[in-house]
Formats: sequence, structure tokens, C-alpha cells
Amino acid sequence: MPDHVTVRSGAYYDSVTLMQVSRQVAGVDGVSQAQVAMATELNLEVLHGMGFEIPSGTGGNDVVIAIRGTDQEAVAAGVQAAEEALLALASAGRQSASGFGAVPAPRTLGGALGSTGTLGFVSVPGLHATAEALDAITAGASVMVFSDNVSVEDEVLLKDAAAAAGVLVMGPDCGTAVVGGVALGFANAVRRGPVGLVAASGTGAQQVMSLLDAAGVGISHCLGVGGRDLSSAVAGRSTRQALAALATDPETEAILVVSKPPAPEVLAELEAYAAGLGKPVHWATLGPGRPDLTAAVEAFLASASLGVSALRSADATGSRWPHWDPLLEPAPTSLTTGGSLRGLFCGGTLADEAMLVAAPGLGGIRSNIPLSPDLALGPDLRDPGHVVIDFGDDTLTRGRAHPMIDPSLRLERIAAEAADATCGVLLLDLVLGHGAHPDPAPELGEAIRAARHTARTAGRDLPVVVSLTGTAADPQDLDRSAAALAAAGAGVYLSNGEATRAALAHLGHLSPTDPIVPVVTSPSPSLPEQLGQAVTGRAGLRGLLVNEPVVGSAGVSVFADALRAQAVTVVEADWQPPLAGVDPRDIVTVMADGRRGDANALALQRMTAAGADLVDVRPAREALGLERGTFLHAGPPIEWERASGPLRGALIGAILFEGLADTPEAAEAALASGDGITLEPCHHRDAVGPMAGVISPSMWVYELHDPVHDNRSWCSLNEGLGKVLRYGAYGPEVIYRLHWMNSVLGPLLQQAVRAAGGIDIKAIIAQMLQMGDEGHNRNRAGSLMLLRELLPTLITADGSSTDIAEAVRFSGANEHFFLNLGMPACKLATLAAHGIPGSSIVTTMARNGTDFGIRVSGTGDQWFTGPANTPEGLFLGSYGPDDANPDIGDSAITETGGIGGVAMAAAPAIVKFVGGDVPFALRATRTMYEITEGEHPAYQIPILEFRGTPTGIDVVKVARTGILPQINTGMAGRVAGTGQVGAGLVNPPAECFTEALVALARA
Amino acid sequence: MLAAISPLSAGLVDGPVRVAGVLGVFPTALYLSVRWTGGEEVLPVVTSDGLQPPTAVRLPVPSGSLAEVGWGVAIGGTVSVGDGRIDLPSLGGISVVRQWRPSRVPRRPDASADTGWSPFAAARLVTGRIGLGPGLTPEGDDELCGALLVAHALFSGSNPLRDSVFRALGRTTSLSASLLRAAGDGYAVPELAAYVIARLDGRDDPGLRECVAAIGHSSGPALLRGVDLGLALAPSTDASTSARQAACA
Repeated sequence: MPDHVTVRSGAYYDSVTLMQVSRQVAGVDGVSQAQVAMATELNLEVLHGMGFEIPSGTGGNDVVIAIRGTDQEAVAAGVQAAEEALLALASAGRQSASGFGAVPAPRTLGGALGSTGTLGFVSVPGLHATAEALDAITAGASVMVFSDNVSVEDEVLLKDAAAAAGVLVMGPDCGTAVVGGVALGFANAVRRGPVGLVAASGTGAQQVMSLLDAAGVGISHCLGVGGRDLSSAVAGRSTRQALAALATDPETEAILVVSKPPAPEVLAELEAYAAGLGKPVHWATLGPGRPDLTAAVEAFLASASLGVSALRSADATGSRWPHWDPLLEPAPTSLTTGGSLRGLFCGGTLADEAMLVAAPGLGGIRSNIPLSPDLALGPDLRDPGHVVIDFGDDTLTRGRAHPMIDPSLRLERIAAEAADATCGVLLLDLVLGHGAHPDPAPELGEAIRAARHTARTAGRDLPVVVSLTGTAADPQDLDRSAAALAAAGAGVYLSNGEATRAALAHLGHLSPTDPIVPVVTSPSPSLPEQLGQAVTGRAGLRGLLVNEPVVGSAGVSVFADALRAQAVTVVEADWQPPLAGVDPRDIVTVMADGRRGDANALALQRMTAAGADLVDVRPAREALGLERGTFLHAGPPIEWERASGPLRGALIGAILFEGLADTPEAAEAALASGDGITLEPCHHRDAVGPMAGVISPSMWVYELHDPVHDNRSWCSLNEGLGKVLRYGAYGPEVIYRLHWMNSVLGPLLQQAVRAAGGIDIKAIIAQMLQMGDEGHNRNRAGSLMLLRELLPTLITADGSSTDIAEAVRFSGANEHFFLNLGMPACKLATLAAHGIPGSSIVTTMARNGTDFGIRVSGTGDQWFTGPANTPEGLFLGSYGPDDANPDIGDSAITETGGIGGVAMAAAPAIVKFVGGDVPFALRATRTMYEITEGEHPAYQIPILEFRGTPTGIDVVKVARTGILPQINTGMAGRVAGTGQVGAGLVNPPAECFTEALVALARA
Repeated sequence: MLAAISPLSAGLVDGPVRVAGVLGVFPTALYLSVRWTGGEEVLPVVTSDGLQPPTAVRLPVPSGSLAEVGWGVAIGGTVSVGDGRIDLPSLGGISVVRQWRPSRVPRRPDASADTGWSPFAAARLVTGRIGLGPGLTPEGDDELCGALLVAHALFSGSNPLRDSVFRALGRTTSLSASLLRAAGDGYAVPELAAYVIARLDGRDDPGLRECVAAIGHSSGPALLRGVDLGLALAPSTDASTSARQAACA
């Protein structure tokens, strides 16, 4: 049987969506096996187990399409189906992102919640759930965490943070909640009433809700707390908050807690706490020797607090709750029956309850979730005796969706039991409600009918009992579902306890109907003052229980769909796993750092408040104290051996210019030996230089001053276009021009600047952004405005009219004249934001032609580097991609300061020059808002309705979203002296950010 | 389009299909006049970014998503309502799938039956205000709303103010009448309910106060005046005493 395996990168789909695609492909004629999945470790195991060979290097951010068919044609058809399905998904996602004015979907839960969200829903893989949940808590929203595989430590971290913020964490591993009448996750449409539920069990809560609804008693809310909340380690943190909130909720008159037995000390503490709340609190804790859930609900209803009169009495079969008799054909008396109970469940708690009810009568029941370890089933899950299986258990949901969504595994087992002579009765659960299969009863009914027929054909009778959890108002319609199952020959019971007893009766075990024993474990309230306070006091959990929820969701879209179907406002995040190489633990460590929120806010505030005045022009020797033989360069530290062409050429030229060597060969030798020569990044002296960015002692530099924070920064004078030092040219004309700039241009500019009393560069940046410039690759308006500021005092400077005219012509002819001022202005801004402990804001991005380096506010002067990428875009003349040097220059300081590529929406003209279009420019800027701390108050983009530019790149946001800062830059020729070969777009290498994150986690 | 309806209006959209008139059209709200067994009632249909009146049908999307199409109807036009649906073709029709929970000022457990209010004084209060003043909901009505919410919390059963207002509802616009009726039973937009609850607790939160002040054009300050009025007239409770003190300060 031919196999086909392809791997695609660059797209992420959630697991449920891919399982649906897998099912689609598997349904193609001739396809025997199909798996379309993200290449996580788990899924790779499954694929290897299926016998597929996966190319090495395939990782969690890649999609694997693995198909096995009867022949090549079938495989090809399968591949086609997979491609079409994925294409449909991609274009559905892209629809909202294309077109002028459409905003890209947020990538994190924080983005989805925005400023109006009140409730988060997290269903991303457990490894990443903590980070998303922290987003909600930081935004002041409660959060439901459906994801499991969240560590206990993270659970405690989340719940402590939530308590401090006055919000609730429902989870982890919480699949069921109802808040203000809105069903969250797998939950039922229950009538509104006075009972508040607190549930550490999902299907347990659904069973209880359904019973209460059938009894005509509704619920106010059902707050999930996660399966582990009542353990010693978590100590009931969420339960406590939930109890307090329900106690102050005007709708709630009595509270029922549904769980497995809590740790004893936790129960004791909570009971004491509950006693002081002023409302009766009852406990339905399912465990050995304890009442089952139905009995607990009956006791709860019988207690005086709700004023519900005695329940209907039991009928002839001992049932007190709704049930539907099976439609049976007349049975020949010669049919035999097997002796064993076979319970096949989707809900773990229901399976547990069945075992607890049945064990006293039946003895040992083997299971994959056994009541004691000696009753564990083997890997084949078969045994001739009594068996109960939970198909929702982790081991059975590897590589497949939960049975409540994909029932196929259980249906197969039903057929198997039908052929098994030892099977005496089939006990099944079916849970209706939001989030579940839209109409599961007919398919299950068919399976039941087929199974009974198979057994009958073999001379056996196979009784089937179904416990059906649901309500009349559920989307699947309880009565219709029950009727379908009854028509198939199953006895159907709303109560799982009664269903289990009915199954036992088929095996000849009759259980007496238990008398109702009211078990109230907390005293009724008798303190009117407390109650008064409780009712009129501030609404708990920031109004979660009284206000209409506004939901943000990250993860599997079925849950957002279920919310939309209830007309709930929900914004879905387009969630993707973090950057490859990022340890999710580091993300959580940094997000949970108490300093970070304020530190980042301070960094943004200082960055945007910094001023930038051009105050002087003078030699670097004077301005920077640059020593003889020291040469500054762009980017992070680098040695001569690793330097690229343009940088080498520029250094050679600088050596010649300084007179330290007479020939290029001698200069090269000197640099290679390193004698008497020091290379240092411009940034180490608070300076910046474009392209190769070489500054030597004799070169004149612009000096800028930030009056707000009293910092200074410097940048070389721009040489113009063509054969220039910054592109690595070092011929005589280059050296000659440098000398002219020093002896004529520099002094004239110095006079002009000093006589003008300084020039406000920040003000020019603010204006140029509204005139089609972005400050990195397009500086025309800025250059003209700068010239306008300089002209009056330049003209009257002390110098010959020829010199002045040449200086004016030289400056005016250079459309990037302003770049050398914009860069140090941004340097001043980022300098002000640097050195704040706990801040994850990037304060330097720079390239030396070989490496790209960043520095972060909270990690001091440490560089985080990776190999510089080569820009992609359009080429000048006959140049091509092979002519381009990797990214080079300190000009990425513009993006770091909130202009340049991140402000591309302000400069549609430059986008065409780099091979994009106008919608692309808008999308680029809008995407940058996902990874920045905030918006610049002074730098605004007209087409975005004067929204401030995305400012303050946050390492954590980059790591979480995988969105790298967008840089728009010129391209240098690889060979020294070539000059500019084109312009294009480039991103920093991801390594810079993954390394920075590690350092932040340890800071 | 799916929507959630207030239980206070549930009966208006169920039942046989009938014709409703369009009373008002705004970016975030549409006001319909629906005929039902009890008479004629105003049904607000609102987007998620506007005010949420306690009788409204609430759409889960913001007004921005209606921008190009709009509500598709004009004042004086008609719309079919019934069978759980509101037939607005521009939105593909609205189907009600859930009831949402309007905000309510809860009755205090120490609420007394005896208000100490003279019915004549209450009637004078009402006559001087109902239907009077500028605004879609007249300012006088807004003041009465504020006072009614306080009265609902402090008094068990009805009270002379509520009785007087309910008798005089014919003297004001149908929209305002529906809001007055809701206020008489403690229902209000979330911002106002939160503010009244805080004031009854003895807290005058400036943030909550600002939220109320921003309601409508002139409604906000009038609602605030009404709350002060209600607290000042109420028998001596901690809340009303501090309100009186605040008013005199």
C-alpha cells in the first residue's frame, strides 16, 4: 500500500480542525489511513506508530500530511482532498485580513480581550495555556481554562494572581461552566433558578444541572474550578472565590458543590469558610461509600432551604427521575445472556459513578480508570468480567478528538461487545448540550440497533441502558434524543445512578431504592446583617455574575462557535505556538514577573517623552572622546575576520582617512593584525551609524541632546549616494569627500546649528510621518524640513559663498539627509528607556553586516545576536539577490523607536519600492501593534486615523506570537564599494529574541 | 443574525408574526413599537457597543459591523416581528436564541413596607416631571428613573412614587414609559444599576458616577439628580443620610 508524506511550514491549525480534515481525507475512496496533524512530539509518535516515515527536522510548527491508500490513484485523491481542505481553511482565515482597512486578527488572548473583554476562554495546548490565562488576569478578566496538562505550580500561580486581581480562574481542565445563562464549553441549557453550582467535575456538573432542570429547579450559575482545585496542593483556591461570589450574587439562594472527595484538610477549611457566608452550602462529593450524584441532588432538594416540596415518589422500577422504556421486539425465550457489565462512557465522572454504584453488588470492575490499581485493564482494554471504560481518558484521546466530538472509537467497541458472548448488558452514557455533537442520538441509536441485532443473530439477548444527560432546551432536544435511543431498543435514564441500577437489574442484581436522607453540611443562615451586606455589597469578581459576558477566546474554534450560537459577543484570537526554540516556561516566568507591567509602562513613557534636539556638529575626537586607533562601527561587536565586505571596505577607508596607513593593502594588514586598532560598536558610545556606520576620531558627527532625560547621542554626517564609505568604498574620491566634509561641511553646519540655537528633530519626525515618510527608508520630507531649518543660519555662516553653496547643494541633493538625524533621535528615545529592571522592551536593534544584535531594557548591556538575514525586495539596475549583503547598519534603531518599518502605513510610496502594495503596508503596521507595548503619542499615522505608531517592541510578545519586527531598509552590495543594490524588507533572526527571553527569565 | 432578548420583553417577539413600527433609528440602537396582548410596547434593538437598556434585544456585534448596511429601515417604516424573529432583511433577519440578564438593583433585605411618603407629595413630584424636559427620554423622566431605582431597593412592595409614575405613564413618550416601568421594578442600564448599588452601600464612586453622567446627551446628569432625590426622600438609612449630607455639603 503506497504511502505519501508531505510537510508544510508557515501555517498553524488547531487540533480539532485538523482532526476534521483527517476524517475528511480518510473518507476518500481507497484511502485506508490518513493523518493531517501538527508535528508535535505526540503526533509524531502516533504517525510513526502508523508506520509513516517523517522527514527529520520536522517540528511542532509544521503540518504533516500522511496518507496511505490502496493504490497511487487513491493516494493522489487523498492528497487533493487534504490540499483543498487546508486551502479552504487558509482562505477563510485570510478573508478577514485582506483588503483595505481590514484589521488582522489578534494573536493572543490579551489582544482578543482588548479593553472590553470580561471573560477569557483558553483551549490552546496545555504547555501554552498559562501564558494566555495570564493575559486575561492582567486584563482584569476571569478566565476559563479548558486546556489540561497544566502543571500544579502554574495552576497555583494563576489562581494566586487571579485572587489578587479579583477575578476567577475556572480550570485548568475545566470543560463546563454556565455564567449568567451563557453555556461555556460543554454545558447544558438549564432553566434559570436559585441554585449556584461550584463544580470540580465537568460531566458531574452536567449531570447535576440536568437533574435540577428536570426537577423544575434552575441554576443561577455553574462555576467550574478545575479538577484539581480541591487537592492539597491547590487547596480550593478557586472554590473559595466561587463560593464568595455566589454568596453575594442576588440570584443565588443555595449553593451545591460537585466534586470528587476533596483533600480532608481542604474540605474542613472550606466548610468553615462556607459557614460564614450566609447562604446554605451543600456538598455532592462522589466517592467510595458516599451517595451518588442523584442521591446527593435528592438530598439537596429535600433540604428546607429551597422550599421545594417532596420529590415525586419512586415508580415500580424504583426510578424517581425521567426515563424512557425501550421499544423491544417480542423476544424468543431461547435467548441466552452473558454475565458481565460492559460500561462504555465518554464522561469520566459518569464512569466513576457507575463503578461506585455497581461495585458493592458486582465486586471487582476492571477499568482504564480503575477504583484501585489492581483492577486496571491491560492495553487491549478487554476482560471477560465486568468492565467500565472511560473513552475520554487521556490515553484514549491521543491523536483523536474527545469522544464527545468524535464518537468512532466507542462505536467500534459497541460492535465488538455485540459479538462477545460474555457481555451481559451494555451501559452507555450520552451527554447533550452546547459544544457536543450536534445530534449524536441517531448514530448511537443505529449502533445500538446493530449491536442488538448482531447478538440476537448469535442467539443472545443484549440489553442496553443509556444514561442521557441533557435538558429540554438543549440544542439536541432531550426528548427527541431519548426517543431515538429508546426506539433502538435502549432503556434511557436521565439519572446516571438509576441507569446503572437498571443495568445491574438486567444482570440479576436488584438494588433497593435508597431512602432520601437529607445531608446538609453547612448551617442555614440566620444572620440578617451578613446577608444584607452580602446582597448589597460590591458585586464579586468584577461583576462576572451580573454583567453580560464579553468573551475573548484562544484555541479550538468549536468553543467560540458554541458561544456565537448563543448570541454572545466573542472575539477569537488567531493563536499560534510561540517562536520555535522558545521554552514556554520562560514565557510564563517573565509574564509572571511582578516588575514587568510597571517596568514596561515606564519604558514606554520614557521612550515617548524623550526629546531630540540637534545642538552641535563637531569632530568625534571631541564629542565622543574617541581615541586614536579606535573605530566605531554599526551593529553588535565583531572581529575583522567575520566582517562582511561593506564593513571591511569602510574600515579600510577610515584607516586611510585617519592616515594610519598609506595603501589599502597596508590598511587591511593593520586591521587583520589588530595592532593599535580597536573596533567598537557605535552603540557602546551611545552613537549610531548607517550601513557600515564607521566613525573615526577625525570624522565630524551630529550631536543631539534629550532635554528631558539629559542624554546625548551622535551620528556621522551623511555622505550622499553613490561610491561612499558607508557602503564600503574606499577609493580616492571617497577619502577626498570625507576630507571636504570635515574641513568645509562640518564647520559650516556647526555654525548653522549653533547660530540657530539648536533644531528640534523630534518635531520634524512627527511632521514627516504625516507627509509620506517613515523615517528609515523614506526621508524626503524630513530632509527638506531639516534643510529649511538650517538654511537661514547656513547662508549667513562664516565661509565663502562657493563653499556655502556647495554645502547647501550637497545637503539638498541627498534625500536621506535626515536619516542621520532621525537615527540618533531614536537612539535618545531608546536610551531613556534602557536599564529598567524587569522590563522586556527592546532598546537596541542593530546589524554589522554579519550579525543582527538586540539589547533589552531589563538585561543591561548584554547583546543577543543571530545571523543577519538578507533583505528581500526590488533591485536597482541589473543587480540581483546574489549581489546583496546581509542586513547592515544601526538604522534599525528607527524601528526600535517606533518609526521606520513599523510605521510603514504612513509611507505607501516606499512600499512599491520594496515590492509590496498599499494594503500590505497597512497590514504591516497593524500587525506591529501585536508586539509593542503601546502607541506613540507624538508620532501619528494619518491613514489610521492618526493612531500613534506601534512603539516599544516587547520580547515576550514577539516570542509568544512569532511576529518579528518589520524592518524596511536599503540593501548594500556584498562586494565592498558596490554601493546600494536595492531596497527591501527584512526581519531580525528569531534567535535574538529567544536568547533575550532566556536572559529575562533569569534576570 | 442571532440575538439575546431581555426576559422583560420576551413576550414581544414570541407569538404570531405581526407588524411593528420603527420609532427611532440610531447607530447603536433601533426602537420598534410592538403590538401585543397587553397593548403597545417599545422594543429597543441594540448593538454591543451602545447602551444596554433593560428591555432590549441585544446583538452580539458592535455598530461598526453594521456600518455599510445599517439597520436598513427608516423612522415610520415597518418590520415583521414574531415567532422568535425580527425581520430586518439587511441583517438577514434576527433570531432570538437566548435571554440575557438585565442589570437590576436588588431589594435590600431590610426593605420596609412603610415608606413614610405621602401619596400626594409623590404625585406632586411626578406631575412636575413626567414627560417634561428635553431629550428622547425627557429629563424629568430621567430624574424619576433615578428615584424609582432607589425606591425599589428601599421599600418592599410598591411605593407611592411607583404608583404615581405608573398612573401617569400616558403623559410621556412610549420609550420613556417603558424605561420608567423597568426602573420601577429595579431594572436599569448596567452603569446606572452599579452606581445606585454603590450609593445604597454608602459609596459615591467617582468612576461609576462619570459612567452615568456620560449616558445619552442630557440623561446622565438627570439620572444622577434622580438618585440623589430618591436618597434624600427616603426614610433614614445609612445611605440616605450620607446622601443628604453630601447634598448639603
